[in-house]
Formats: sequence, structure tokens, C-alpha cells
Amino acid sequence: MWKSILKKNRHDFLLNGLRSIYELQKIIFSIYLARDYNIKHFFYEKKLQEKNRIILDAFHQLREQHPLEKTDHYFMLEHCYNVLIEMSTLRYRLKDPVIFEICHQELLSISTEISHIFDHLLKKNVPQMAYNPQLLQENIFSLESIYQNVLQATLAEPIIFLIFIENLIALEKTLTQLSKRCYEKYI
Amino acid sequence: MKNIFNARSFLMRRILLNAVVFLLAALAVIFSLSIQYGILIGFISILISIIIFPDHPEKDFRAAIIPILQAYEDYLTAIKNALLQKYTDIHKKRISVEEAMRHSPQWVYQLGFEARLREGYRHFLIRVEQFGEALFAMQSILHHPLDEKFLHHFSQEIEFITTQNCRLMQTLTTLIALQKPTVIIEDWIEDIVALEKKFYTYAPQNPAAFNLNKDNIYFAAFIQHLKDLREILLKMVQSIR
Repeated sequence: MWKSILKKNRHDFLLNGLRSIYELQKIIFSIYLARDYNIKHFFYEKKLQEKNRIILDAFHQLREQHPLEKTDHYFMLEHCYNVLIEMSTLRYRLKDPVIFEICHQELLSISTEISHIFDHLLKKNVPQMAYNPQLLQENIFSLESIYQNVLQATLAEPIIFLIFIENLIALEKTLTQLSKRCYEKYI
Repeated sequence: MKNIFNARSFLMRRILLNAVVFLLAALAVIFSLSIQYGILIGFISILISIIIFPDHPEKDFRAAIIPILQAYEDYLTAIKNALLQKYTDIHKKRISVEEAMRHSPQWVYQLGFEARLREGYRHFLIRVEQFGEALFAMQSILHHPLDEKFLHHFSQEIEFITTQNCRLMQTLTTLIALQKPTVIIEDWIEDIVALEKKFYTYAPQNPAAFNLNKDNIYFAAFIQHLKDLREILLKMVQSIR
């Protein structure tokens, strides 16, 4: 009886993975908002590696404990992680930190909204409704406007920033889907 | 107990070694032993350091990195096959990479790791991790299947670039294993430059028209990742040579 009570269920492992991904996105956005990656390069890389390690361990536990139950949730988490990792590549592609200064407010708003979505997903009680992503979509749209009006002309390789914006849109869609799944069937 | 001998806990080893030496020295002082015993204590501490707490960071680092690079190579090939819509078990390759990365030598970041090796090993490990990140990012692009006719224009170039990257990874693995590489390739840049040029002849020049078709953006992202992979590999090979 104690074994069944103490044994973690799939829900706990999924929450664990989600929590780790939440921590990773906080670090990624802190790099872009602090704009000191060139100076504290080693510090940020070490933090990213630590978070990556925790996420990979969470995925390992999920596979080990419930190998036959690789549902959409697992693949959505994996996709969410892949998209975040792609977003983090901007740290070594974009050499000029002034670019982040131009869109600092928009990045801060996007980071805050993404944190709200994760807080909503990690709630202990059953969520009353799926998270409304409208505010996040508006913030991403503001960032896209800055890109089209300013950055597209200033950047040496504007495609790099465009890819970042596409990744934000992909992340928003994945998190919205996850939120809807949580509401429809509490994980 | 086994973990003390096998784990890369440099700080713990130093503490234990110093504790043993201190204890022996304290015994010598308490019992007012002569200088010969002091020499004996020094000899015993050297023996403990060599036999019981041996440090072979070079060997351990190589042993940890090589499986990661081999897993990366298989995963890269699987990603290329998935992009070109050939059959591949990408999920299995992905799991192999995740398992290899879970055992990456994180002990290079620990306090007490040899100062003369620290910077080089840490930078190399950062490059290895960034390579893995680029591969995971490439898999996220596969979530958006590209138009088959569009891909057909570039399939030869993608095959060639992936083969070159795999050969470069094999060269890197050979160098890390302290063997002489057999593969010699003169040009490491022109293939990716050629792919990029070809892509921009097909993609519209007008930014608004370019942005309308998501295939353009995702394929541009894929090319960017191929560039990153090549750059990281060349930096790793350069740091070893």
C-alpha cells in the first residue's frame, strides 16, 4: 500500500518536466534582458547546462516510469523544449546587445506573459479555464512590428531575428495547446 | 564508499587526502616522532594520491565526450533523413543523444578541478553542449513539414553538407581518441555558402513576400543551424590541434 502511495504517477513527472522547462525559459530571457552575455558568457552557459541536465533527467524519468504511455503531452513537452532551445541560439548569433535594448520592453512583456502561462499550467488545483493567450500574441505582434519597422533595416542578418519571432509564435501555440489539454483533461 | 573512488568529486578527494595527511602529522607530533616519520608520512600521502585517489581527467573527459559525439552523428543523419522525408527512427536516436548528454562530464565545473585544464575543458564542453542544442533546434523545424517540391531543389546539397559534417565529427572523435585522422578535407565553407546562395535565388527578394511563406523561414532556420554546426565543429577541431 505504501509503495503505491509513495510511487510518483505520470502527472508528477510531467509537472516536473514542465517546471524544469519553466526554469530554462527564465534563464534564456534573463540573458536577453540583462544584455551581458558577452561579459558573463561562462556564467550563463553553466546555468543553461544545469537546467538542460535537469530537463533531460525529467524526460528520462518520464520514459523509464511510463514507457507505454508516451502520449501527446510528452511530445508537446519535448517540442516546447526544442523551441526554447532554438530561441536560446540567438545569444551567440546576435553579437550586438544594442538590438535587445531596442526591444527590451517587448521582450520583458513576452517573458512575463510566458511565465504567467507556466504558472497557470503548474497550478495544483484543476484550472478553471484554459489560459487566454491574447496578451502574449499582442506582445509578440509588437515585437514583430519593431522588427519590420526598425530591425529589418539595421541588422546585418535580419533572418536570425525573424527566426526568433517565429519560435516565439511556435512556443505560444504549444503552450496554448498544453493549457487547453490541461483544462480538457487534467494531467 | 565506491562513489568516493569513482566520482569526479575533486573537492571531496582533496579534503579526504588532506584529512589523512593531517591525521598522520598530528600522530607524529603527539608521539614526538622523528623526522624519518615525517618523510614516511609524506611518502604515504603520495601513495594515497596515486593509488587510492588517482586523477586522470584527460582520460575520463575523452571517455565521456566520445559517446556523445557518436550519438550526435547518428542523430544528425536521422534529422537529415526526416527532413528529406525518408524513413528514420528519429525518436530512438534522440533518446540516445539525451542519455549520452545526461552523462556529460559536468565535473569540469566543480571546485578543485585542475586549474591548468579548467578553462580549455570547460570551453570545449560548452561547444559540445551547443552542438547538441543546435541538433534539438533542428528537430523543432521538422514539426513544420516543408513542401516536397521545394525541398527537392536542395536535397543534394543537404545530403552533401550532412556527410561533410559527419566526416568532420569522425575526425574530431579520432583526434580526441589520440589517433591520427585519415580523412583530409580541404574546403569546409563553400558547400554551405553554395546552399545559401541557391536558396536565395529561389526565395523571394522582397522581405514581405519572403515572410508570407513559412517554408522560406523554416528552411532559412535549417540552413542557419547547419552553419552553426559547422562553425562549432571547426572551433572544436581547432582547439584540439
